[in-house]
Amino acid sequence: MAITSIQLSPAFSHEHLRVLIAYLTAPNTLSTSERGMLLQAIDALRDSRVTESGHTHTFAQFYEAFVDAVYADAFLEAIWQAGDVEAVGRQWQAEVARAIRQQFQQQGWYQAGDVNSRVLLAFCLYWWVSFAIGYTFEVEILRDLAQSGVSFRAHDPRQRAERYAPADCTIGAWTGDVKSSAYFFLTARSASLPHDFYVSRYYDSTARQRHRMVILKRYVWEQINGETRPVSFPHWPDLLLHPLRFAFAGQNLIAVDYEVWKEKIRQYQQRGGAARGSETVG
Amino acid sequence: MEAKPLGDMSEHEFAALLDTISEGEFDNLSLPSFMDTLWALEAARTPDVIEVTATIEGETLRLAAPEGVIAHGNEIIVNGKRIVVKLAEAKP
Repeated sequence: MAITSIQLSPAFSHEHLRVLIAYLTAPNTLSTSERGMLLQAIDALRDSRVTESGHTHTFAQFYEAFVDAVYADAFLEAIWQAGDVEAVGRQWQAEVARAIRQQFQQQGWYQAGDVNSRVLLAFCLYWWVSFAIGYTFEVEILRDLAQSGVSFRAHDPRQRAERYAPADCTIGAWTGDVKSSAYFFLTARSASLPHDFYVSRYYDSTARQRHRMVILKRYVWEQINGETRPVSFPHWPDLLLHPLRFAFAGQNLIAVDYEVWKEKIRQYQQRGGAARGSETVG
Repeated sequence: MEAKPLGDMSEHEFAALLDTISEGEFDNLSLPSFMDTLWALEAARTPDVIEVTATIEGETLRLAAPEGVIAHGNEIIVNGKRIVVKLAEAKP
């Protein structure tokens, strides 16, 4: 299977490439406008074209055919069955990343010094690593919620049809997603934060560790009886020591430490509280 | 530090970049960076900027908007929402 042509989308500029490399190497140094540009860069890359064996694919289709179809199901099964989800997830993340690089070398898909083949390889690696990190985090959270006695229903990402379900889990009538990265909260085409809650995480560079957090709609927080303090962009603290309320895209949101949220949910369910929908948006 | 352009990297430097991507360090966003990213993504999703020009004639505010946006007197209609802009008395 020989690659005969790699054509980057006309929408993908030198500036997009510069921002992408900056993000991959030093993600906290990007300016606000560069972070927005990154979304366009990834979209433009997904639409770029690669021709192999006479077939032209978008980068996204190429990734689906030669990476996702080969590794995703086995990876998801492995982390689902793992005792230590993070350790197994990281091991697979690294092993498949090595396999992708070897495949590019062995198949001759990578041409030394050719920028376009570098971009294609970097795109496939980035997408795989994001996938691996994302699902490792999701399975960790689903398992932790189950072990913590929180009553919820979750999709099974091992089933392809369920993998693409609109929500990762539901708590009563509340729908939620588990997102390891801020960059997957929003896409160019989706509605802004359609779910009731989002479990995510941020990095504490001082302690060199990640902290789990939940971003949720204010009506959910009010139902589980939480206190908050106001915060506004761009004045965010380095650590989420208190639940913070803020306005975003016309919505009233709360950011709270994951353990605090989880305990509130558990207590709410023990009191017999049933999650209600968004009719009380205020 | 400014990242080196992809085309200028040696094979060794490019391999180091691939190692960095494989580690997934790009996922380590601080809380301020995380929230700034959310903000930036939302702004990037809605890139259409509508410029509305206001003039004050006596005590009347008049708005002028580009074609396709309804502006009448001190009112603008956007996405089914009627926005009424009022002049407040200046405080001493």
